Amino acid sequence: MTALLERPMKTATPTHAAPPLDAQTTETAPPVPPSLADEEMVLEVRDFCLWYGAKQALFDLSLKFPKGKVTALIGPSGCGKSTLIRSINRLNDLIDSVRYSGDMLLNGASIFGKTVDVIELRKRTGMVFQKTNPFPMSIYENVIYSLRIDGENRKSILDETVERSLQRAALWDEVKDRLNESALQMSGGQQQRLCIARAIAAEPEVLLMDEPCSALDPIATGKVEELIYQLRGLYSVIIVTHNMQQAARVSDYTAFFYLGQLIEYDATDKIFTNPGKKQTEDYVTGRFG
Amino acid sequence: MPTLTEPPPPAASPRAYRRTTSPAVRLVDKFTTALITTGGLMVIVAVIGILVYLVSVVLPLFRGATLTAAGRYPLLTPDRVNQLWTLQLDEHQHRGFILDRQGKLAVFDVATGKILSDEPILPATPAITAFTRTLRGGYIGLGFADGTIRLGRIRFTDAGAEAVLEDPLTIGKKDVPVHRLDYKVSDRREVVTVLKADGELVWDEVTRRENILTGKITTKLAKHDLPYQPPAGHTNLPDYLLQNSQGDQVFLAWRDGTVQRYDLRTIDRPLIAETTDFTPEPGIELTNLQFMFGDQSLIAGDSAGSVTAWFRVHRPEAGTADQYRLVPAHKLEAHTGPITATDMSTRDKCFVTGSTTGDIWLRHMTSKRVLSRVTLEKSIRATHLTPKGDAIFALDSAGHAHRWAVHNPHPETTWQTIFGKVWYEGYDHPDYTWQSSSGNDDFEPKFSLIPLVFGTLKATVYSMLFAVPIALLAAIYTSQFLDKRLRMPIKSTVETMASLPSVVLGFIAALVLAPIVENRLLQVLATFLLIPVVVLLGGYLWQMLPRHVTLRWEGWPKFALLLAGVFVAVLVGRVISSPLEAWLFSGDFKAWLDGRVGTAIPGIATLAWPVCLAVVWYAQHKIITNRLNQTLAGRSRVVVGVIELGKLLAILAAATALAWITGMILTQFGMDPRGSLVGTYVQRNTLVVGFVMGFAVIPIIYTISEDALSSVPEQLKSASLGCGATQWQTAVRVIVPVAMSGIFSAIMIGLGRAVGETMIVVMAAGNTPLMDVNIFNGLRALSANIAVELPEAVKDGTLYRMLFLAAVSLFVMTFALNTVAEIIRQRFRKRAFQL
Ligand SMILES: Nc1ncnc2c1ncn2[C@@H]1O[C@H](COP(=O)(O)OP(=O)(O)O)[C@@H](O)[C@H]1O
Ligand SMILES: [Mg+2]
Repeated sequence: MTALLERPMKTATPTHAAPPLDAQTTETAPPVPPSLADEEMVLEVRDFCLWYGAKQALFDLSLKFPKGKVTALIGPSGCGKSTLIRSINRLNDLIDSVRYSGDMLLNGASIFGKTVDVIELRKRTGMVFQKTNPFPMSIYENVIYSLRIDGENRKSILDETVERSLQRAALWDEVKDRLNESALQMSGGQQQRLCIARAIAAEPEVLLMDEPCSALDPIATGKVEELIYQLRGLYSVIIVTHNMQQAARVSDYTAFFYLGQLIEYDATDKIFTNPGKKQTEDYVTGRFG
Repeated sequence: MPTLTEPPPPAASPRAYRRTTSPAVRLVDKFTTALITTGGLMVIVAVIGILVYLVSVVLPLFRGATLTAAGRYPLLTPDRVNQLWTLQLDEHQHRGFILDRQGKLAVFDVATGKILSDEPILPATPAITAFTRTLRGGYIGLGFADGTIRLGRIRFTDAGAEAVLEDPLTIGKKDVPVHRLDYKVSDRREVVTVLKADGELVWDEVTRRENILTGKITTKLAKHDLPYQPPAGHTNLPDYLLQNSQGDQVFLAWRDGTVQRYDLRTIDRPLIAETTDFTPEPGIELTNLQFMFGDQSLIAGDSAGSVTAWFRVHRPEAGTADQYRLVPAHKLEAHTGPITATDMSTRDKCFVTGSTTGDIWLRHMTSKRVLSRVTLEKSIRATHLTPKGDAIFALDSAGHAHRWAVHNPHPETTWQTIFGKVWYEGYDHPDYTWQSSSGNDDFEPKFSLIPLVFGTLKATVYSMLFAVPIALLAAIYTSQFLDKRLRMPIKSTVETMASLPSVVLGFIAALVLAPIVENRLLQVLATFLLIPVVVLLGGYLWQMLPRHVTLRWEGWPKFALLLAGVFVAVLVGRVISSPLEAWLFSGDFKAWLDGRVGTAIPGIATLAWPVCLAVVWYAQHKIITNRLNQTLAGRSRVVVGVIELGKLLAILAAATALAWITGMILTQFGMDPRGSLVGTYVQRNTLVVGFVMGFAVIPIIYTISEDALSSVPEQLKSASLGCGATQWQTAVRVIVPVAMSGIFSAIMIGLGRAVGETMIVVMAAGNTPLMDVNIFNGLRALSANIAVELPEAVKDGTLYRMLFLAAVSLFVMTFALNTVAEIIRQRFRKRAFQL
C-alpha cells in the first residue's frame, strides 16, 4: 500500500527512459484475473507505455479484454483511462508529442506494428465519446458514415444498416419517421445513442466508450446504460466511467487505474463488493477520487 | 405603484460591505459605457454622413434644368417676326440681332429690348431668296434672285453687330434664282451646296487665295454637279437643303417628309444613297429640319408636334447605295402643336423646340429628356439657345421677346443613360458605353456605368476563380494535415503576404508578369493544368510505395517530393508547350485566338475538359467503384496502387476523348469559344489581373477560412477519424461543411476586397471599358475608373458627379454583397453550430 501511495512522487520527475519495469510489474494486477480465465479475449494489451512528450501517462499496462462482454475502466480523473482507450484506435497519433512502447493485439493482430494501416484499424473499432458529437448531417447519414467513406452507396445495404444499427441502439422507434432530419435537432440522450448506432454500424470488433454518459441528464443516462447493458453479447465493449454505480450496473468486468497504472482488474461484483486492494476499496467507496 | 425602498444599510460585517459596488467602479463603468456608445454612434454617423454626402453629390445628375424668367418686351412688329432669317444673342447676353428676309440687320439691347441699329446689310436688289448660317462662328450664306450667292459672317462687335460679306459668286445659269443653299465651315474645309430654281444642284468646295501684292483675297469655288432626281411625285423643289460640315452628306427634304440623302464621300461619284420618309403617318408635314450640334443627327419637327432625331448607321443589309441608312434613333416627347422653331446648343446635344401652342421645351437629344418646359400664350416664331447654353430667348407671333435664364448643369444623365443602353451617334445600335472625354469639342461624353460594373465583376470573377481554390486548399492543408508546429509560422507568413501593398502587386503584374505571360502564354496555361494533374499522379505513385518507405519519408521528404512534382509540371509545361501549340493551334496560339488560324475544336475541348472530367469521374464512381472495391479487397497495396493508377489514367484519357468529341460536335454546330470566353490577346488582360488580384485576396481568404476550419470542434474530427475516415475524408465530409459559414465569409470578404481593389486593376487591366468576357482582353473596373479619371474631372461637372455615382455604385455593390453573404452565412451557421 505505502509503495503505491509513493508512486506519484516518483512520476513527478519526468522519466525520459522507460519506467523501471521491475518495480512496477510486481505491483500491478495480472493481465488476466482468475475470473476472466474462461473468457475468449478480443483485445490484449502488452507492456504498454505512453508518454505525452516527456510526461509518462501510462505505465507498462498489460491486460486482456473479453469478447462479447462489457469491461469498465475506472479510476480518478487524470489516471489515463482516456489515454488508454484512445490508444486502442490510435487516435492519440494525432497528438504530435505522443510516444509509446509495447503493443496491443486486436483479435491477434498488432495495433502498433510498423505495417499497420491505421485507417483499417479504426474501421475495426468503434468509438463513442464523452461529448456527444453527431455530424451536422441527417440522422441517416450519421449512421452510415463509416459505410459512406468506404464508398458504399447501395441503397439496400445502407437502409438495412441504418435500421439494424438504430434498432440495436434502441433509437429506431423514436426516429424512424425522421431519418432525414438533422441529427442536431435530437435531444442529448438521443444524440449519444445515435453516436453509438454510428459506432456499431460498421460492426466493430471492439466498441470503445469514453464516459458516454457524463454529459447526459439522469434519464438519458439511464437509457444509454440500458442500451450498453443490452449490447453485451453482440459487441465487446470497453467503457470508461468515473461513475461507480454506472460501472457496477453495466459492466461484467472492471479495471481500476491509478496514476497510469492498472491497480486491480476483476469481475465487477468482486471489485465493488470485495476489492483485493485497499486503494480500490477506498476509491469505490468514495473515500478519494 | 410599489414604492422603492432604500436597500438596507450595509451590515457591519466585511462580507456584507463587499456586496456594494464602489462608486469609483460605478463611475468607470458609466464612463466607459458612455465612451463606447459615443464611439459606436460616431462610427455609424460617419458612415451615414459619407453616404449622404456621396448621394448629395450625385443627385443633381438626375435633376432637369430650371428656367427662370429674365424679362419680356415687345421687340418686333408681328409682320416682321414672320420674316426672320435668324436670331442671335452674344455670349454675354448683352447684344442681340435679328436678320430679316429683306436683309435688314436689327441690333438690340438684350436687357431692355431697345433697338440700337436697324440697317440693311445689302442693297435692296437683287432680292434674297435663300439664307443659311452655321451653328458656330456666325458664318452666313445668302442666295439671290439673280443666281448669285454671297458668303460672309455676322459678328458681334463692341458697337453691336456687323455683317461682312464677300463678293457675289455666280452659281450655274445666270438669273436663275438660288432656291436653297447650305454653307459649312470646318477646320478642314469650307463647302457650300446650292440648289437653283431650275433644279441645278451644285456642290462647291471654297478655296481662298491671297494676292501677295494687293492683299486682296480671291474666293474660288471648285464645283461639282450633283444629280437632281426628285423622288416620284415630287414636282416642286425641296423645302430643305442640308449638308454636314465634312461636306460628304447632303440632304434634300420636302415638306411631306421625304428625305433624299446624297453620299459624297467620293465626290467624283456622287450617289443618291437613299430616300426615306421622316413623317410616315399620312397628312403630317415636316415643319422643321436642322442638324444637331456635331452635324451627325438631323432633328426633325413635324406638324403633329413630334420631334425625332435621325442619324446614319451602317446597315449593309438595308440595300442602300452606300450601305448606310438613316434611322429614327431617338423619338422624343411630342408637343401638342406643330413645331415652328428649333435651335441647337453649340456645346452639347441640347436643343430648344417651340410650337404653335406656345410651348418652349429645353430638351436633350440622347437622353430624350425634356429638361424644362415653359408655355406662352402665343405661337412661337423663333427660339434661341445662347452660346453658353445659359439662356433661352424666344419671339412669339406678336413680336414679343421672352428671355429665361437656364440652369442646366447635367442634361445628358438619366437613369436610362447611366444604366441602360443608349444609342449614340455613329453607333450601329444602342449600347452600354463609357467614354468620358475625347479630343474633339463636338464629342458627346458617354456615361454608362454598366461597362465599369461589368469590368469590376469580370476582374472579381476571374481572380476568385484563381484565388478561392488555392486559398481553401491551403487552409484545409494547414489546418488539417500540417504538423501543428508548422501551422503558426506558415499562417503568419501567408498573413504577411496580405500586407504587400497592392500598388506593388500591380506594378509586378504590369511590368513583370504581363510580358512573361505574353511571351509564354501557352506554357503558362499548360503549367496551370499540369500542376494538379502531376500532383495527383504523384499521390497515386506515393500510395504504391512500400509502407515502410512512406512512413520513413512522411515529413520533409514528402514535402520536397511535392515541390519536385510542381517543378516537374513546370518543366513538362515548358517542354510540351511548343509541340502542343504546333499541333493544336497551328503553331501560333495568339493567331488562333484571333481566329486567324485553326478550328474551334481544341478551344472547346480545353474549356469542356474539366466538365468532362467531372462527368467521367461521376460515371465511374456510379458504375465501377463498388465492384472495383470488392475485387480489390484483400489485394496488396502495390497491386491496388497500380490498378488505381491505371484507373486514373483511363479516366484522364476518357475525359480528354470526351472533350475532344464534344469539341468536334459543337464545332459542327458552328460554336466557337473565340469571340466570347477567349479571343484576341491583349497584353494587359484579365488573366494577369486574375493572377495578381488572386494573389492579393488569397491571404484574407486563407486566414479566415483557416481559422474557421481549425475552430471546428475537435470531437467531430475525432468522431470521423474514429469511424475510420481518412484525414481527407474527414476534412471534406465533416470539417469543411461545419466550417462552411466561416469559409463563406472568408470568400465574401475576399470578394469584397476584389471588388474594391484599385491599384492592381489600374496598372494591369489596360483600363479599356469594354464589355467582353474574353479572358485575354482588358477591362476597366469602377474603382480603377475613379482613380484614373478623377484628376481630370472638373469639380461639380458631370464627370465629377458620375465618378461619385461610380463610388456609390461600388458602395452599393459591396453592401449588397456583404448583406447577401451575411444572410447566407447565418443560414450555414444555424445549421452547423447547434453542436
Ligand atoms: N494531449 C495531451 N497532452 C499532454 N498530456 C495529456 C494530454 N492528454 C492527457 N494528458 C495527460 O495524461 C494524463 C491522463 O489523462 P487522461 O487519459 O485524459 O485521464 P482520464 O481520462 O483518466 O481522466 C493526465 O495527466 C493528462 O494531464
Ligand atoms: Mg477522460
